[in-house]
Amino acid sequence: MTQHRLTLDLCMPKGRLTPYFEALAQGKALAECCGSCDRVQFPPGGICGHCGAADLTWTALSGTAAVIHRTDTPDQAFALVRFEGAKNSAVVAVANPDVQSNRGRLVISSASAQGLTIELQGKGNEHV
Amino acid sequence: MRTEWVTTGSHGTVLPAGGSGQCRDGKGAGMKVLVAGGAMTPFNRRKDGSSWRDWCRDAFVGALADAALEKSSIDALVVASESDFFTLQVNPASMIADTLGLVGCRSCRVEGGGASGHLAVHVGMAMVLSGQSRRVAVVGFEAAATHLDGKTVGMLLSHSFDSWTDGFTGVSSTSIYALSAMAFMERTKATVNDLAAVAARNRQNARANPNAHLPLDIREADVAASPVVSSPYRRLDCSPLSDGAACIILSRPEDLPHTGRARVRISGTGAASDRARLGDRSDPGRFRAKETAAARALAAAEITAEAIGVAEVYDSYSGAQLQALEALGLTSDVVADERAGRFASCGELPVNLSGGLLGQGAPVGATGVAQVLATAQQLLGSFPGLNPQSGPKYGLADSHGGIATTCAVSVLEIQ
Repeated sequence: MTQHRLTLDLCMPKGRLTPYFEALAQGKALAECCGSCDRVQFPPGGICGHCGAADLTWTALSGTAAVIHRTDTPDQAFALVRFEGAKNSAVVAVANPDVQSNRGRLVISSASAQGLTIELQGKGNEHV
Repeated sequence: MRTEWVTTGSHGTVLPAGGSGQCRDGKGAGMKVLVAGGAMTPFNRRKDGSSWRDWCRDAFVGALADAALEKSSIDALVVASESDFFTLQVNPASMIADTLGLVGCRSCRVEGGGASGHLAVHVGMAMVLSGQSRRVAVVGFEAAATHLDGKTVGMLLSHSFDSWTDGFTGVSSTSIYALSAMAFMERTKATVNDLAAVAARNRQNARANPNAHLPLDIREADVAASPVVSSPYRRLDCSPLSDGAACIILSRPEDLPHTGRARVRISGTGAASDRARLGDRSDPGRFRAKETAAARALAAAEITAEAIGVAEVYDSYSGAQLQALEALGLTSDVVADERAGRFASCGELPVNLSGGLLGQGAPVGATGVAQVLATAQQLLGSFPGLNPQSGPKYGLADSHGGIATTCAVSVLEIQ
């Protein structure tokens, strides 16, 4: 048996999705709007998820999201949410898993500048 | 060649209309591809000091013996493995060709996440059908259990989805599958007890399988009492990370020795892909690409789902088995059929008699190869474990990568 340690220091350009990631790093939701069918999608995907068109423009969303489903691990929570104004949904990390709420807002991820993270909020918050 | 696209679902999920199932697999020309033979190593967490190269060799030698073939008769090698991070072996196909003494043969590697092994079978079949090769060895392997710690493997596998979005949230495979299962459960009214029944039954099936990783004598209550991994999934709802290898040899009947034994034909294959991100799907609880792949495989075999008498289904999680059965069209009401015992070992349509991924285990690259092998052996009644009691003519094997993002389905038929 031999032991090896591999350390990777990756530097990955994001190409045409760069504006999305730059906005995300500031806690802002930048979505794609389809020039063909007007569908808004967040997170963006490079082509329209409805009609397949590639002529997409950037549009800012409020960053608020509704929780569709939520799963809890022993120390984390993740959710499938729909951001206000978007037609698709997104898997996000929950920044405050001790809170039970069906509303949240995009925040800057503490774990990574790229991941989608929401903080649950709104009246009716209940601490587990 | 023009690519056709089909639109499925109310939200217009677009799926490519091509795929291996569309070409009828040479039906009209009377071309047949048989599973000439196969073998697998035990799937487990290896502690005996053996290496992944040893496992590949063991599976290959066993498959040659089962097929009554000499190594020199093999003219192509297709290798399946998911991640070079597990072995630090980039370009594993050339290394395995060297290890198996197949230098000079055509060789390549196929990767499609959890579907890697099954897609490799499809590639091997295409090589035979095209006339490029006469006898193809398909070797799948993975060293997912012991080379790295579980946390690191889990982190790597979390990048099986969209690593730029899902992966960098820190979400695990289990959490993504859990979110999908919740959508499925909401629509179908399946309960955690239904999921637990699958988890327990597959482990019970695995008890008869000498190669199984988790042959457990457990009941639904044991599943419910196991620790939560990501709600609603508990530890026993999850398939294990396994080490191991599997090999099958594909060929036309005329290129095989007469052994006097029956053999199994791959009579239809289908593959399809879905949106990579769960949130981009119109119904995140539904495996639409699997629906398409199954439809293609059944059409290529010129049968309907009702003809399938045994199935090895991709049960990476307990709920995923129910989602798969629904998508494969093997049931019109998966929850009712599950509760009625239709998928039990003595049921009308036995599913995962091997134990599936939950029981037999899941060395990713080997998984799909082993699923096809198990299905073939079950049709022959020679699987070293539970076999169907009804003597079915047709069996189905189903695999996927991501969360049913890359799907592969094969229909097998006893000759």
